[in-house]
Amino acid sequence: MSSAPHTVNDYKTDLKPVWCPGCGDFGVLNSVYRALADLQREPHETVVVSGIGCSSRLPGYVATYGFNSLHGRALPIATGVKVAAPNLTVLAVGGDGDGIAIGGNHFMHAARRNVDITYLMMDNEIYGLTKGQAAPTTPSGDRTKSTTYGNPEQAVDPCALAISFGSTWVGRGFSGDVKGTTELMKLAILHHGFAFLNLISPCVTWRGDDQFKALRAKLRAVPEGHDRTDRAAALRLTSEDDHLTAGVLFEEQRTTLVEELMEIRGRAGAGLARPTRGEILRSFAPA
Amino acid sequence: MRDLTLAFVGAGGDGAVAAGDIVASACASKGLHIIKTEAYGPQIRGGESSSTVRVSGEPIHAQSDAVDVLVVFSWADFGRFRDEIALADKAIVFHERGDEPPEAIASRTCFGVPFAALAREAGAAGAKNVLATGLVAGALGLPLDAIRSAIARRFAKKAPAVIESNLRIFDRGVLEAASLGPLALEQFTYETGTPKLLMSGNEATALGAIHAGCRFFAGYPITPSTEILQFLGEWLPKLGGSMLQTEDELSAIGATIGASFAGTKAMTATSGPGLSLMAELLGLASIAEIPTVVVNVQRGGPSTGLPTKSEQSDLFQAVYASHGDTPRVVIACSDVEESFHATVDAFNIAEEYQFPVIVLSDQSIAQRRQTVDEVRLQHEVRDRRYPGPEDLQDYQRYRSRPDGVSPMSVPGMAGGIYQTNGLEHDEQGRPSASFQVHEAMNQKRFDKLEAVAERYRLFHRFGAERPEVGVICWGSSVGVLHEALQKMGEEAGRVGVFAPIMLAPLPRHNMQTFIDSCDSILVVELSYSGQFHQYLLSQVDLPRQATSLYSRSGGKPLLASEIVKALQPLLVANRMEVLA
Repeated sequence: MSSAPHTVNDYKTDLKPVWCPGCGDFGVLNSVYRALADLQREPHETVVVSGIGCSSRLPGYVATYGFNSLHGRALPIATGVKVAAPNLTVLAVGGDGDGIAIGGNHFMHAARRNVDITYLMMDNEIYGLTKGQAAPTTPSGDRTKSTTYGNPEQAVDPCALAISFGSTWVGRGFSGDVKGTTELMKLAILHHGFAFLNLISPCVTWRGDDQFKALRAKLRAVPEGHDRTDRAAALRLTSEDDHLTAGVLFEEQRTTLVEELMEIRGRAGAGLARPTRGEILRSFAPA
Repeated sequence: MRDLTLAFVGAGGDGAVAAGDIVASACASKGLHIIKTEAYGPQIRGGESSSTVRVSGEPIHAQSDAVDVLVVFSWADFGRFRDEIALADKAIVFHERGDEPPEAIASRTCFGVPFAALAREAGAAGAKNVLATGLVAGALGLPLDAIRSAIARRFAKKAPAVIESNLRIFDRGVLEAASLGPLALEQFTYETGTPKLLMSGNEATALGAIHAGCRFFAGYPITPSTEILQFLGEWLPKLGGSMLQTEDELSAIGATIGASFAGTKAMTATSGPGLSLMAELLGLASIAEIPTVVVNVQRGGPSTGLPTKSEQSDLFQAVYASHGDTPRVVIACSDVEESFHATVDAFNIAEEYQFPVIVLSDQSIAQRRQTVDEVRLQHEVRDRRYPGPEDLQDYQRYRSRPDGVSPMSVPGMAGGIYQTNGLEHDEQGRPSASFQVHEAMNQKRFDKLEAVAERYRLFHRFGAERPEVGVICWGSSVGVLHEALQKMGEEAGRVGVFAPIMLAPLPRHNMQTFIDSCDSILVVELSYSGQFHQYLLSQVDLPRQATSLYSRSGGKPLLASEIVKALQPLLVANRMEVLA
């Protein structure tokens, strides 16, 4: 099975995406196919986990093991998968509302724990599946279906959060640039630790062509000389109002959750003889 | 007397809990039966504490209603527990000399003993709990050698001089008992037997999980379930497994589901507030058919409620939580040993039938320590149905089978690839909003529940063969019913008890047969609104004119005497019918 190299088509299911024509998520999906094929990840040793939202439909379109779960809960489930089966390639995917609003707490802790998974956030600055309400990423003042008089809240930058939370790899890509996004995705998957890739994925239906054009106009590559191991520099870079910086913003090496848990097993004495039933029960024996 | 309850009460540092531990451990080593409970003031650390130990040569099923021997280091600290500690009529009380008992207590036989002064003379004033232990042991005839061994074990890590000093203080206490003269209370008598294990319900639950093959646990600390997390955090790594302390209960059950999806037997444990948070993910485990074990240790509710007290008011939540038609299995445990078996059953059913399974325990079981016979901690372990080579030819994750159970592949298995879904899905796992698919899949999932109901008819049935009054109860109430029947003597011959272990699906047929064999029915539970009674109304035919309910709020353990009292009018009424 693993002798012939996998092609992009090996990663496609026969399910037709529910996305609107022109949706940025198509570009992300194509990048997922290409990244997995380029890295020759075995489909049966790969798991894609998602929450709920337009973009969370993605696992159904990828012919690996997949789990389209509940709104906001992709990361806890992906964490459980990775700890239980550390040899698997695990991708968590979803939208900005899924990952920052309802699932925001898990984002912080998956990053902090440095779970060795890749988290792809398809960021369209809107709630698409429920047809056009404001998300935590919707710019202040924007009119949406839920902000008739303009959004009263300040938007949050997912990359700034990811860096602050302790992600060990943070990047940003643009769904319209399938080639560039594929390369970023490969780096994210190859990264040893929690890799967060923010994917600007415009919603043509609820944000219109203008959003697509505006976002593309703001895009620029990571400037030369950026020290991606410099957390403060990475935060500055992602926080510039006039630009959306695409590329690898931050990277560091830190022990992963699974490595820590393996280390704990060693400290607990696993690897020596496993404790027998009698030994465990002895701790309850009064004599 | 063959059944004795001791209580030690004092301030933090008085060693009331340690004294109870020493007695309990010593008696367990002699093969006696023990139930030990503790209670604390609200302080996070220190503060007043009480420790109650029931010792018996015969099997015991609950705390006793009243304390026979009370040791009080300070009446000020006793005040906090006054409502929780009832004294037997013949109770004897030992208290620090000079600290006089309140009026309500003074009518009992009280002895003022200079605990601290005697302990100081014998070696160390701080060891007044050891002195009191010697006093009580000497006065009542507890096994002195076993207690000496228990003291030596307790201080085994200290210098030999510390052990010697404590043994000397203990002996001084025993000597002091001789000076009390004859007591109104009989001596404790017993036969020794094989040493027993002493563990809490939470520990038994954790042991059950390990026995069943659980190698992943995720949880968020919450009283009164936290000991499960702590125990598994210590032992799972030794066994090549992992414990993950998550950021909240959503994450705890999410990670549990993820680990199980990836092929590892996994569990989470919580209490009512945590189960509330887990409700949506329970539904996910149900529709995606992922084996998931959730232990819920009940406490008083709603909301934060009474975090350290017991109640049986999470029944509705366990049976009904989550939106939609959501089949799940609910198993209750009624004592410490059954916490082990219920947990293994939960894994067996979860794995074999791909269900979320909730184990319902409660604070009174989970945090009491009780003796268990090691030989009884055995239970058949069953595993998941994996796809064979034939299934993998054209694998469909949710392919229908007569019993609804489709073999489950796990990531890493070539040929077993599927994408699962919290959306309704077809046999391949592909999302579907079709009515036909939804209907068929609901049926598939509920067929599994039927299969579980068919195979697992778990219940307790004791008391009269053909009862006049049939009592139906569950969980921690079951032990109290045992005690009540013992208290009733001959009258008990007219009472029978049926207590389902499996609450969902209920062993309905067996329960109905029981109900139909009784003249009248009494439902007993610790829930103000009578959740169990309401649930039974939807499940079985209760005789409309002949069913009564004894239910009240938790916060205070159910007493055997309460049950006896509740049964009296029913027994009289039946007798009158017979006479008529």
